[in-house]
Amino acid sequence: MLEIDNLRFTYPQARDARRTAGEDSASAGAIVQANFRIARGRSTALMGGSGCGKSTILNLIAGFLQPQHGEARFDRRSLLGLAPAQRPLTYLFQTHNLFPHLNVRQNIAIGLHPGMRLSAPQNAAVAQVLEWVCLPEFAARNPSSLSGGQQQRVALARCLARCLAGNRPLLLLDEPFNGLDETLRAQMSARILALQKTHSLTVLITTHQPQDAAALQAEVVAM
Amino acid sequence: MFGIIALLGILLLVLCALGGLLAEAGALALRAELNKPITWSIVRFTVWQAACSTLLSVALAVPLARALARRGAFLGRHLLIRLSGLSLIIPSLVAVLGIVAVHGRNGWTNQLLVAAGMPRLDYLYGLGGILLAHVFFNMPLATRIFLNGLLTIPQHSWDLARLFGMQPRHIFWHLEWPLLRGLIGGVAGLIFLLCFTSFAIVLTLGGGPQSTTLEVAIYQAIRFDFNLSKAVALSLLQIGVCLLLTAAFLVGGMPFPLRPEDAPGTARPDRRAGLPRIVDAVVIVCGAVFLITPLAAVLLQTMTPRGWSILTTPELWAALRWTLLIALLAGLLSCALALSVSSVIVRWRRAARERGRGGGWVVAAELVGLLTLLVPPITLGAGLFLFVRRFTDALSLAPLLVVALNALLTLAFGVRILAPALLAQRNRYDHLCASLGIGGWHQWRYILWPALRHPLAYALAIATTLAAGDMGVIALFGTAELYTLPLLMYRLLGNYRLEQAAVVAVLLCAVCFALFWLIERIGRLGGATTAARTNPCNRNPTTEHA
Amino acid sequence: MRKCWLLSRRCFLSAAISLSLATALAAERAVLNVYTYDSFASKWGPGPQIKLAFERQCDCEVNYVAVHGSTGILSRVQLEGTSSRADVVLGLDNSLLVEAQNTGLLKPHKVALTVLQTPFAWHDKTFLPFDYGYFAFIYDRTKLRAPPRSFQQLVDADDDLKILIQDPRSSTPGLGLLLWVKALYREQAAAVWRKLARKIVTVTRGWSEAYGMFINGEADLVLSYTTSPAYHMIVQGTDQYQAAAFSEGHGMQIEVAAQLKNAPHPALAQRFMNFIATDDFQAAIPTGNWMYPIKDLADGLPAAFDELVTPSTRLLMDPQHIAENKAAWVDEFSAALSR
Repeated sequence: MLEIDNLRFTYPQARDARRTAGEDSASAGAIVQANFRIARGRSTALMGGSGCGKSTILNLIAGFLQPQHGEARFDRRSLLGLAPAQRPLTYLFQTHNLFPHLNVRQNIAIGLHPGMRLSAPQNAAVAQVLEWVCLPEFAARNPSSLSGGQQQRVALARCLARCLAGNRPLLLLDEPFNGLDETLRAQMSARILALQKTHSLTVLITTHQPQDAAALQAEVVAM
Repeated sequence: MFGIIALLGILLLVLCALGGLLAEAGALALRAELNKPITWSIVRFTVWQAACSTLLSVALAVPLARALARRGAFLGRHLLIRLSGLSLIIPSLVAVLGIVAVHGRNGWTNQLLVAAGMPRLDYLYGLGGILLAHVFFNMPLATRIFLNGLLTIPQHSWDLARLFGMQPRHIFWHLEWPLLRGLIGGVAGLIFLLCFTSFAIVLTLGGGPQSTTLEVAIYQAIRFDFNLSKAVALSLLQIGVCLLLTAAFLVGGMPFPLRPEDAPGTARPDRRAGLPRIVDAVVIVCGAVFLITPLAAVLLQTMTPRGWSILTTPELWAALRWTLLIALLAGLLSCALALSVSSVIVRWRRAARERGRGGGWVVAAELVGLLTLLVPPITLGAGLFLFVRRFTDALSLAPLLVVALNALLTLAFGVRILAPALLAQRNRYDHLCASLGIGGWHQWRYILWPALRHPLAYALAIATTLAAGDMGVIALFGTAELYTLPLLMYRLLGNYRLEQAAVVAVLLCAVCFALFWLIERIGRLGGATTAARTNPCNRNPTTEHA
Repeated sequence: MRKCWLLSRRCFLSAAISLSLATALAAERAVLNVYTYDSFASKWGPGPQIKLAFERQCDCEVNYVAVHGSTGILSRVQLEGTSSRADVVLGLDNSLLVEAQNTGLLKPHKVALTVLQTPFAWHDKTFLPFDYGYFAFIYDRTKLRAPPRSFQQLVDADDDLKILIQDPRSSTPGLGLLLWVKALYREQAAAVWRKLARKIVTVTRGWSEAYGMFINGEADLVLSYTTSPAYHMIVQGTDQYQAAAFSEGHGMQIEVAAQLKNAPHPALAQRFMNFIATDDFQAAIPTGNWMYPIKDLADGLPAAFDELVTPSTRLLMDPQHIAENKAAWVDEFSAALSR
């Protein structure tokens, strides 16, 4: 169960906010507040126009921003005191998900071990997730040689690998299907849905497409 | 932690140097110096010549950069751009030789004029000469930075320009100027600083006591009057005035990257127009002639058989060995310091931004990074000499002091190259790294090192070549055994051996170019494509495969 | 790449080791430290020959600490103060005597001055002359047909006649010219400088820069020494460059040596002071430092020296007078040229 109680964040200054929030630049100077719950094994989609603070909420939960007020708990344990890497979650960013100097395989491996030294089961997990996102033959390629959609799928694969092999049952996906065509969108959301059912994952997704929420059978929170 | 130690160490060294001088002088006569009208006329002249030099360098760099950006491909373009990058590392005493040979009273220009039946022009000595030499050194630097900027204008902007049928002047105001405006502040600040503290050029081409800058006055206070208190007072004045005038440019934003980025050419709509084409050709030819002739003149001066006899003397090879040893050690030390200082600046800057306060510490850290560019080498050298003397025999430490001082003096360049690269990489990937749990050594090894390798090599190349061409420090500590190529060149000149000195000058240039090229090359090995990929043009992954 | 770095690191190490080894080996013999200016100590100056000659008789090693520019020697000794390793300073000149004396770092030379065979009288007990010369303007006789024959002619010449001089604050010839002008014109010196200012192409930091520019044709005349043409005659075999003889006389430079009170090797320093006045030392001066020796050489001077200008009048100022007024005169010079 993910519990978000009156989580509130006010940007210090309009100017700085633009840099911190990155893509969320329209939220500059604004106050972002959220209050919702997601049961274990369920999905929620944060929906709203760009600039309403969707990414800010994810950043608060993931630990990249510190809220001035409120509480965030997962399975009754508070998340707020923990460093981002210690929280039981994985995060799919909107941009800059891949390291340009590492190949696809390494990009996934570095999510499982920062020195990329993997055990045999971890190696198997990397192969498994590459198959899930339909990119097994791209393992040795550099990200720059992939299309935007393929890059997005590699990032998703890394998230799934961390989620399963790293035992992080909370999945934060910031506009995960950007740049994917209809078929792939459907494929990927079906894959996430299946994994969510079998592994009882909790998924929080931001999107502005109602059909994404529907495909994941997610409860919609309008912002 | 390591970075903070480096930061404090640098600050401590500068304070020790000033303290060493003060302890010897007894008292600081700051007020007495400030009350002298001559001090203020020196300050006025220093600011005036630096301001004029900066204005000219920047104003001339804009059309040249624009012409080079517009003309994507012509024979020698690549060479010209590379050459312009070298102007930063040509030892100033060599360049002055070449400038005199081209622009002097008996230089190439005047020989041409006389041959054409026109009167001689005396424009080299005095303010004219100072400006000419400063433009020679700094205009290419500005051109290169502007050119790099112009090449990052994305293709879709050009497509829009074509769609809207923009004329060259519209392109300038809507596409190029907004970009240049962002760069000009930082470029002008740096050039102003370099001209403010320039020494050899002012001394040789200034024409006489009417062209006394603060740096020259400090040199004379130590070397001629042995008035150390005056030297410290003037040094403090120099630091103060410099900071006052350039702080706004240098601290306001992150320093711009000096690293050249070979961006791929874009399809500009204004390539085919007739008149701009002619204008560009004229601008490029003028710029190339202005930059290349002094170097060619130095090279031509060596065309005497007597000069080359220097190659058989063991002194030359000893000087070459010392030059390489000192330059490489100083370069490595400088890079290590610059990396430490940069990591502190970046860490504090990011922390300050998240908290919305603490910006003062960032400014302080950046100032320390710049400090060694403001303190005259002779003050630093003489001060440290006096300080070290209290504990040990300073002369036996001379090689170490030369290395340390050169490292300090080139530090500012390293910081300006490394800090932006580090900041960009951290901004881009720190959240991702944190969410993936990549930290400490692993983050350095797998995330930062690949992105920093090329900037590091560039910083090393610059620091090394600057140290190789250094005259200010080695002139203080040189002995019969310890001498570098620049010092050897001066010794030859002092013994009437002009032809041999010219050969040493060319050799020194060759060594600088070779070091620069080699180190940059090593930095690119295996990482050649990293630079292109971190190019802002293709940062957005969704447009990449278009 | 890594291999390459390792390799170069090893080079540094070995260089550093060999350096310390060299110092260690040298420590076995006494080392006499002689502070001098770099063109004296360099391979092309008189230094190496003198070093060899002295080492042959002293069982010691001569180590030159070569300071950049001759005005730097005094400030270097002052910088090092009482902890200086200097035994002997070589290359101060007559314009700096009082300041050097006032540092309190020097001690008497104890050499019998009767050995001197100089055209000037010398009685100083601290400073021992080792060579001397006359300042003069040098011209290229293939380009300048009618050089000025007196200082006054130079001052009154057309402003098209261009000269190169050195800064009195950083170069001894520059200071020599300042004293020369003062000796000739006294109260009118400022006016003379103002007239000269229009002919001055540039004022350089040191002798080398000015002379180099002159050779490249940047001016008609350059401030140097009457002995400069000897270099071109002996080494280059050309008499193209000549000194302009001025009827009022020429400013004089006497270069001196002194030993330090705190010399680490006082006995050796004294031996070296005695050595200065011998033929072995003096023989290196004419074609090494391009100056006149302070005693007649057994072999005589090279033939080219006979063709040099010998000033009718030697202008030499009282050191005390120089010390008291130098600062004011430099200011006068700066003000006149800054107009």
